[in-house]
Amino acid sequence: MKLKKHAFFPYAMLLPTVIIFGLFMIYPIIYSFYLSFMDFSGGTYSFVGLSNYIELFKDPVFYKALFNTFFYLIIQVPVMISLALLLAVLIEQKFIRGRGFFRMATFLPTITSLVAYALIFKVLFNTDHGLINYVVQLFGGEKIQWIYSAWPARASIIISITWRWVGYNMIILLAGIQAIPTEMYESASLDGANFWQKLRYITIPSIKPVILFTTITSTIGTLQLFDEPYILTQGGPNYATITLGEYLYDNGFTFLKFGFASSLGYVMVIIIGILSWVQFRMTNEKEEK
Amino acid sequence: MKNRSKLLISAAALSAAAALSLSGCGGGSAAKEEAAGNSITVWAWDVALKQLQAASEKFKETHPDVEFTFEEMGTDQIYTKLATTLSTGKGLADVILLEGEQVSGYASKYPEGFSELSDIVNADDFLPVKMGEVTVNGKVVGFPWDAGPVALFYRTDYFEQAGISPDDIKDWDDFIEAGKKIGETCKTPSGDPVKMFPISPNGSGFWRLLLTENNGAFFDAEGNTVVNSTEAVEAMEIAKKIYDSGIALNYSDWGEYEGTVVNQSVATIPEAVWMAGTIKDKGPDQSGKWGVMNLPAFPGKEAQGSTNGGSDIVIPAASANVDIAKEFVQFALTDTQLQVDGFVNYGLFPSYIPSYEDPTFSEPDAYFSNQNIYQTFIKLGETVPAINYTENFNEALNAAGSASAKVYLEGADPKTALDDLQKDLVSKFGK
Amino acid sequence: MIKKIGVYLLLILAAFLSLFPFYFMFVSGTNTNADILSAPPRLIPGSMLAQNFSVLIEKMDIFRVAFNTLFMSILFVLLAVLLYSAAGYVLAKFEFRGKGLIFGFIMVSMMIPPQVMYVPLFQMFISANMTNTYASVILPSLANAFGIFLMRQNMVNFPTALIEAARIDGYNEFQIYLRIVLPNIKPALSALVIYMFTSMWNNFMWPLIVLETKSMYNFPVALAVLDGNPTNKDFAVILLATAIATLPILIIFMLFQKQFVAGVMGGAVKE
Repeated sequence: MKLKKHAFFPYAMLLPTVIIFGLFMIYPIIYSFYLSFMDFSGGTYSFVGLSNYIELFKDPVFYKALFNTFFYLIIQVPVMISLALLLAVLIEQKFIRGRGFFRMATFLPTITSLVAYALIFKVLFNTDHGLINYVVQLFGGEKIQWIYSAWPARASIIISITWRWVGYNMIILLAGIQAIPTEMYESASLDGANFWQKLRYITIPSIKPVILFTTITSTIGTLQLFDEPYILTQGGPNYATITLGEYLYDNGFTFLKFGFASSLGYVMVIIIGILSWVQFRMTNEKEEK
Repeated sequence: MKNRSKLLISAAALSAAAALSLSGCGGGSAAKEEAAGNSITVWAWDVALKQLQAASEKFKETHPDVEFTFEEMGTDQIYTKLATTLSTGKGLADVILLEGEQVSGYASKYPEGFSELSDIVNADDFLPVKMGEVTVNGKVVGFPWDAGPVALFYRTDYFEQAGISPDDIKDWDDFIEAGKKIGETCKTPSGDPVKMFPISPNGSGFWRLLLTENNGAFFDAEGNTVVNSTEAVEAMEIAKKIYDSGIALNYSDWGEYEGTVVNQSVATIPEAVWMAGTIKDKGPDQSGKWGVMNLPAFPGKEAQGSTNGGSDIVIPAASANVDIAKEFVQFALTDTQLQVDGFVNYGLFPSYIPSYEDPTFSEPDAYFSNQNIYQTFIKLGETVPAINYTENFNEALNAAGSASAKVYLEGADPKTALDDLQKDLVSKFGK
Repeated sequence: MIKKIGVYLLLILAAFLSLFPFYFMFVSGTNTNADILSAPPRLIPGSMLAQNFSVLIEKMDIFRVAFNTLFMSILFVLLAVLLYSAAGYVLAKFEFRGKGLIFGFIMVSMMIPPQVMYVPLFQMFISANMTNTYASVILPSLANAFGIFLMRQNMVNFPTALIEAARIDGYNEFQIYLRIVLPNIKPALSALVIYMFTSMWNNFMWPLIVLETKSMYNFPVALAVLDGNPTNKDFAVILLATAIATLPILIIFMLFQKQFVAGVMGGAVKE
């Protein structure tokens, strides 16, 4: 249900935002779209039509990056959002003492600087002296070559992203949960609802827009993923962990192929757009029931 | 009307905020002070920056009115800056340090980007490999600075324990045998078997080292891709043989690389002369335990040198201070005493050949058991031919890293992997 | 009871996993570079703190950098809260012409990989002669769709009845926004503050491109300079600097997480 129309108020409230987006989004978007039809060499840009896009679709590395990106997306986003929701709900349990501490502890990884992050994960994933392999061996497993074989390298990327972003999503979900009137839980308790029932029938429906928010932003974040493969594996071994985001960065800022990088950027926009639209659709339909 | 006043409030809030943020502007940007023509802004990293600062003090003795601004920047920052700013020409320093292999990429993508320096660079005075770096499409666009001739650093104590003399290691096959012996007999302080040398199996570094030693390169003189030449395949076959023999220790970044010195986990490091500084720095307790010898040769061939790293200086053409910047750079990189100081203080190994006459380069080094290690590097450095890097170097480097990983980690056949690489690169570069 | 212990164990495990790297970071600032590079690294505090710190302040004007980062972050958060809560509110609760277009555009802008926009943005600031200013960092960062989207999603379920009631009580639209809506979405606002503050505090690529002099650097750029040397990295000093750069965020977080008080909405909010 929406409020009735008001002539000027919404526009006044939106004006500064619209100005900012107009200045700092629209021009760069148009310009880089234009660049995606250009080739840069010998100091000048020349119009090459669709050839950047054609080159992209013939490029085997693009498909590897596409595969990896989707692999991360399919595994990592559901795992992370569920974990974040679970942590958020557990921290909100009435009997928990030291909530502030748990909230802060789980949020902290979000604010690690990349330098520290890279160093620490090298230490954790080191084949011979790493803590993770130590634990693996403790449980009778074999040492895993984390950085040097394809699937373990992908797994290490997923573990790292999850570690870094769970707390961030948890805080956003917490903000949503905080806004649920406590009376709703109290009356559910009187009706004899257990933990999972409350989660399913009160918490999740009440914060559905916020869950949608975290899902869409995490999807976008994963599709643009750059930091982890860049610092942990440099996209290797043999492109096993490269993502679209890293490939775009390499092409633009290392190979100086801005036209090609822009065309990759627009292909990413289309993919992300379709996925976000699907996610929106799915939740909207549920709301209409 | 009510609504209008709200609009005004929002607009006022925004403009006030914008004004506030603008008023926070910091001091004048060095890059924008273009008027005088005698001020020099320098971008460089670490010890090179310190050495250029020292050079500026000496330069001021004869040019008291020149003003210097030094901005410390890391390599990645400089490349990001160049990528975004070279197209406008604005926002760049007057004197910029680049890694040697990177000069060609920027200079070919932006042919008008850097000042031509043919008038101040005398090609015969510099190591051929360094002239190769700064000569792009026949023009000299950079000033050669420190060189990275490669030799083999080795642990004398581990060699002794395993009963190996450096003279036993003539070629890479001998290297493998020695590596196996060392692995069997020597233990690191933490009790692990000592490995022969560190390698990054995700990258092309070791293959490139061998490729250069074998007189091969990514590109020929015309810029055609030749990554599956006979030399290249030979180099990759040797690299694979060495890796498969199990004597290498995997590392994935600089921290782990230095760690091999700290943890005393390798018996040799095939690396450029600048590694001497790192070894001294990270292994102060290992004085007297390191030596330097020639790189092992390809079986049946003469021992040769290779190259890795080193830097050059470029002067953006858009700089308002090109003339004075040129004068400064020429002075800083050819004044013999400055070359010697840079070497002694910071380990910057000059590529300016006349400076090798200085007795400093013939003195024994106490850390390296009083061995005269620098003559080894000078001799090897002179054998390394010029390499044509072309504008496509970074892309080829990236793809070569994958091809190497395929060979080391997935057991791919060297010839097949390089044929695939060749096909891939030719389809990208068109030649 | 067993359930409660289980929950605690789970939370403690999560906290430990999250905190361990921070412990490593703070401890490493008191050790030598060699300690950090050892395998396994030294995990107990050492005695090098003073020396690492003196190396650090020689290499980096830490107070200037801290001021720059703090100033840009606070200003950015203030502007972001003003802009995004207003935009999110009307996008969630009003119908007006062009709404679909504006919201759609904001959402699409979130999908554009930021890397493709740096070059044109930089050219804009060069031609406006505004590079190397605080404004050049803050203004483009305000085009941040995440913040607007976060606000909108948190306001979609805001009880319309409450707004209607306020209208009947004679509040004007602006008063409703200020006195009814904002106070009731405090948890979401503090999430916004934490998120915005963190994103500006950690802002790296764009400041790296648009800032030119040391005196303007923020922490991420200054840290990258510290770490940007291809060889001879001093990890002890780098990690010490990182630890120092992390402290202010901890403080901000502690301040604002207090806003997450259960039942802020109280009984007043029911459809």
